[in-house]
Amino acid sequence: MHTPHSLGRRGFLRGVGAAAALATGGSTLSACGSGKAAAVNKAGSAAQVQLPTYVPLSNGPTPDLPGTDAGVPAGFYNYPASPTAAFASPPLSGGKFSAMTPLFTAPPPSRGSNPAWQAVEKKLGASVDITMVVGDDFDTKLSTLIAGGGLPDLIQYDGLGGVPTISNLPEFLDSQIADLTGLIGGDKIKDYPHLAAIPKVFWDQCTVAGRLYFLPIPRGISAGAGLYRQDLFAAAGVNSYKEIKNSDDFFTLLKELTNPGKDRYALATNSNSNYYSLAIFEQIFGVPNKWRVDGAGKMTADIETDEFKAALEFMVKVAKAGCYYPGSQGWTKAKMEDAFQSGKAALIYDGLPALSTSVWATAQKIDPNAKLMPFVPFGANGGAGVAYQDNVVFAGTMLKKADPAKLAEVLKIADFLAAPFGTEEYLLKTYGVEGADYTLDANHNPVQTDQGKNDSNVTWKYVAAPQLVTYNPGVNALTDAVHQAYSELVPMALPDPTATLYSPTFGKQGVSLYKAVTDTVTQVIGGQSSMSSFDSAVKTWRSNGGDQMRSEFEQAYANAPKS
Amino acid sequence: MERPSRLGRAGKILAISLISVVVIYPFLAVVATSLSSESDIAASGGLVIWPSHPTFDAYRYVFSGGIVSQALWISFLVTAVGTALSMAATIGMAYGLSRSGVVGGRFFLATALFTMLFTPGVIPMFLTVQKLGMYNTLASLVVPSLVSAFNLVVLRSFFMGLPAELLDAARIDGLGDWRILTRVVLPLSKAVLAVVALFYAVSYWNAFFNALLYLNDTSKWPLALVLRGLVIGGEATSAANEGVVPQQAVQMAVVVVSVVPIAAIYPFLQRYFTKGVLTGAVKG
Amino acid sequence: MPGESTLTDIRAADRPVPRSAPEQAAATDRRVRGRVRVRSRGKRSRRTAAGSSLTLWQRIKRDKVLLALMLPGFLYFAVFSYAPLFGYLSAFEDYQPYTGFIHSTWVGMQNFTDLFADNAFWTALTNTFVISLIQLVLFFPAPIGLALLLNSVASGRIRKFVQSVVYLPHFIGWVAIVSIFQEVLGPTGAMQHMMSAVGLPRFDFMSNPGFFPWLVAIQAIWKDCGWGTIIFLAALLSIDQGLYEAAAVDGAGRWRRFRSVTMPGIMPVVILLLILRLGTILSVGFEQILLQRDTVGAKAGEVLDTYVYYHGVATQQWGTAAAAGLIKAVVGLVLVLGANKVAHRFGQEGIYSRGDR
Repeated sequence: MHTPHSLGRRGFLRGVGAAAALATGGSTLSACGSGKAAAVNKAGSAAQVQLPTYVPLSNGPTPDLPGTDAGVPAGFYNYPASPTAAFASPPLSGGKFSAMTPLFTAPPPSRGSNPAWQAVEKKLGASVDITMVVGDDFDTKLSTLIAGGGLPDLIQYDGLGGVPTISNLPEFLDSQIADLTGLIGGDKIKDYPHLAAIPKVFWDQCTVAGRLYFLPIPRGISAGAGLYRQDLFAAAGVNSYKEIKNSDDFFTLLKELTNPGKDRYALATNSNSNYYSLAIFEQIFGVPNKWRVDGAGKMTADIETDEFKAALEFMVKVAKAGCYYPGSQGWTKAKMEDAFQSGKAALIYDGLPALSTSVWATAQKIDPNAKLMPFVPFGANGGAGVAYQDNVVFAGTMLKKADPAKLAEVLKIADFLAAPFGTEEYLLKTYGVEGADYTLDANHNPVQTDQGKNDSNVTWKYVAAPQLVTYNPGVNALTDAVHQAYSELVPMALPDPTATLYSPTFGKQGVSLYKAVTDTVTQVIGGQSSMSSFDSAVKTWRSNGGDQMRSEFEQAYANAPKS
Repeated sequence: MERPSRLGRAGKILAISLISVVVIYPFLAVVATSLSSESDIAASGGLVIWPSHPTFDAYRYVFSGGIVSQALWISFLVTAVGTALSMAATIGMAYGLSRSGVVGGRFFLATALFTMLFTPGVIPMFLTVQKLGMYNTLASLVVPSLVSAFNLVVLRSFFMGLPAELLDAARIDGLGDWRILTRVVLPLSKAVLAVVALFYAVSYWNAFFNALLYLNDTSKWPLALVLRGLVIGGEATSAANEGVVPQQAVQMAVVVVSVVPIAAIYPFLQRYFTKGVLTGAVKG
Repeated sequence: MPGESTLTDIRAADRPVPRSAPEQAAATDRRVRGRVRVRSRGKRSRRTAAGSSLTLWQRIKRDKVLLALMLPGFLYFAVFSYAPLFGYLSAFEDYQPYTGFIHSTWVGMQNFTDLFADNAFWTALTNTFVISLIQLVLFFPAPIGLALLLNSVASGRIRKFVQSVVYLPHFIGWVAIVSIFQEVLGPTGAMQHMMSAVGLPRFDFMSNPGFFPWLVAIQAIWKDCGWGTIIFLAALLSIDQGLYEAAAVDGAGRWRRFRSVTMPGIMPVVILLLILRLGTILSVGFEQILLQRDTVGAKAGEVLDTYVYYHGVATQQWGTAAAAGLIKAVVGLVLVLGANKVAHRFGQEGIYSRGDR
């Protein structure tokens, strides 16, 4: 149950991918894309921000599958045998702090009856009251706090890389939020070694109007192009996505996978901005990530491209062939995931983070041969497909204005929470206290107790976090597959060229105008409308504001500094 | 009246049965799902008529984590304290307003009645709660909805309908306003008091909006808000993520937990409904 | 109701009272007062007569206990109902929370102009009317029908049982109701299975935007139809059984008796309720819709109240939201007062009567 404005990055927790990002549209005030470190503010001025210097940790554990500075998460088969202590003594000595994050699980037990919460605070040396707000209510609650002047010390902002979720963002940041440029810019970040170990590609997301305002909560750059059942693909004669060479192969495969008699279909979708898994097909057909810029700085929106139309026509063909699970366009996302796990659908559009040991285990309980793997796009015409930079960060964390001494303490909290995989601190904040909340198995992997499953719902990971790792204990095949997928996706991931640019029209109408088009897309694929209604929907989009956005983006693009 | 025709009787019985089923079945479905195991739910494609292997796992999970038990406790507390305070304030004002000629009486009455026509905006309410220092306290679940003008009118109407002779007799006996209230008015109003208290209790029990706005700590969440998060927010519970308990079963278990207390007390009050409703045309 | 035909019942039932909408309570209030005035003349005249000769201070002193009793309630209304009304000032301001109500720039009617230019506002208004209208057509007559049915059930025990059953949903919160509906009508619910069993195509009741107004009405009926019967049952019970007998003696058939005895007996209540319902046409269940708005999208699920909430809080367009809230409040006020006027025309007592208070 997502409101359109909440469809952005937070959705990835539940695996919502690029289709959601697509729905929320393109540009934002914040900078993005590894090529550009600057943001363009309302007035169109731009300045180079001194981002934190990247200093990798020297004493971290050696991953089984190394990550990259470009954002590929490192892979670990097991938790390191003897976790190191990131902090010899608590970084803070007393004090009460507050934070606000979204919550996607059941709420954890309160501090008093939650040993994990108490232990984290003890190790941190300070108490942190976290306001955890059910995901869908987050923006509302944030607005209320902005209006009431009750902002906590650390606040998550989920509009990074999407539509701004705070109106007049630059003014808001300027009046309420600490400018971090002078505190952690350049080498100053070295006071916070775990934050310094976050590569530059993530900090690029964190500036507005030439200032650094956010701490990144890193993700794996791309959310991928869906998940597939390797076992079902293999039964249909295709052992891996690599064997699919073009859209004809793909169509044959999808038909082969569909067997209504066995209650099995190639694809399943859901009503939550999935649009018949549009994002998979867009990436296969090479549709640009929201906008394409030519050498002269002219822009074309994704929906205006021939590639988009080709993808759409192909999807109409797939739908006509009966490859979608009937009625799945009305499903919840959970229902779609159930269908995938139980083998009723062979390919779904869900983000890479949706794969985990537990999902794997659920599927294997239903069918011991089940193999859930990430899908990497091929090129529809035989070449390479594209992927999108649609999941660089989960969100950013803002610090409420305060005196420098207080801000230094707050940053220490963030640094503590950014302690990477392999440390004692990571184990503690993720799994809780050994004994009460988890036990270690033979391979040193934490196994949560019932209590631990509740205790560990405290949302530390949404306050601040280190770079992501791929860790699916007990399922090395999955870790390999996910790592492999990231290694392929990250280099081919296209940035959204408007992500650093500001268009007032987009800020105001972007979502609703785009929604009108995607509604039509859904109808065309569903067979209720013809292709010509798609053409007229694009025309309407143009005249109602699309062209206006284009010229604003083009203007902003021309003014932006090129690196 | 003459006996109805056989056809008419059959139709009536059918209609009555159908209506009862339409009301009862959803409750049964909820209970059945809450007792289901994952295999039951998966095998049936989500619909469980009756679980083949009933299990209390969902309830065990719900009560093991603490948040639901805690929320249940908070809901009980807020409902009990809130109802008591609301009743005290409402009875006091209704009694004052029911007596004619009290200085400022008309003004007070108009003040109360007019609030039925206007609702203040969310942000001004928020600022008020915050300025009173009630933000993130359990008081914010009670005080901002302390008196319902509607219930006030119900009580006042009832008080005014009491036989005047009794009040006059009490006065002649030398009873003051306070004693008339406690010794004469309240004992005569048990039925309507019960109904109004039920309305307050039910509204406190079911409320989530104030909690959503005014609370920070999840540890202070009432049950309705937890339920909303679990079911309406479509959240995955951690247990469901781990494949331990079917998510649907957990959701429905919480629904059951939230409905049972109401279903348990209301039959005892049912005989007062007609009286209470007709006294005040109660909407509830 | 068997065994329950107390004095209150009969008395209340002869001028039965509206079922829904708070303002209707006042109608009763008025009615009961009318009765009381006659009976309690002695008391009243004593206090008023005495009051006129006393100074204000003496009267306050005399009524100190009553005033003290009223104080908490009055303070509550002053602080939580009236003080926040100043927030509507922001309807005329470019309100910025960091600057506050006092210091924000005054923009006159600009917010209203913006509001009327906003398509979403008109969508919300249209949806509100559509939902109200459907509720009027479906939800309004349902309790009447059910009451007639219950009233015709001869067996007291069956009637009692059915009443217990149909009253229950009234006390269940919207959060639970929506969950229950999800369970029955949702994509995995019983209804889907039944429909596919008889070969009907799947239809997602819970998230189909076109179906939303009907869903809202169905939920309202499920929750409150039983409860709504109370008032009509009382009206039916209050009809003089002698009239039926007389009609039967005159040879009137069942249908004829229904038309000439039953209908006139409950008509005043029906008309009064209908008029008052029209007065609240701008209000459709806020919590109910808030909980489900996102599943169907704002285009189908936005009503005036949620528009005010989302624009005022979620997207921080404080000024336009306050303007929308103000319009709703003022138009609502006019409608309620208008409805009362019409009710008076029909010889009923509305929320405010023309007489003295």
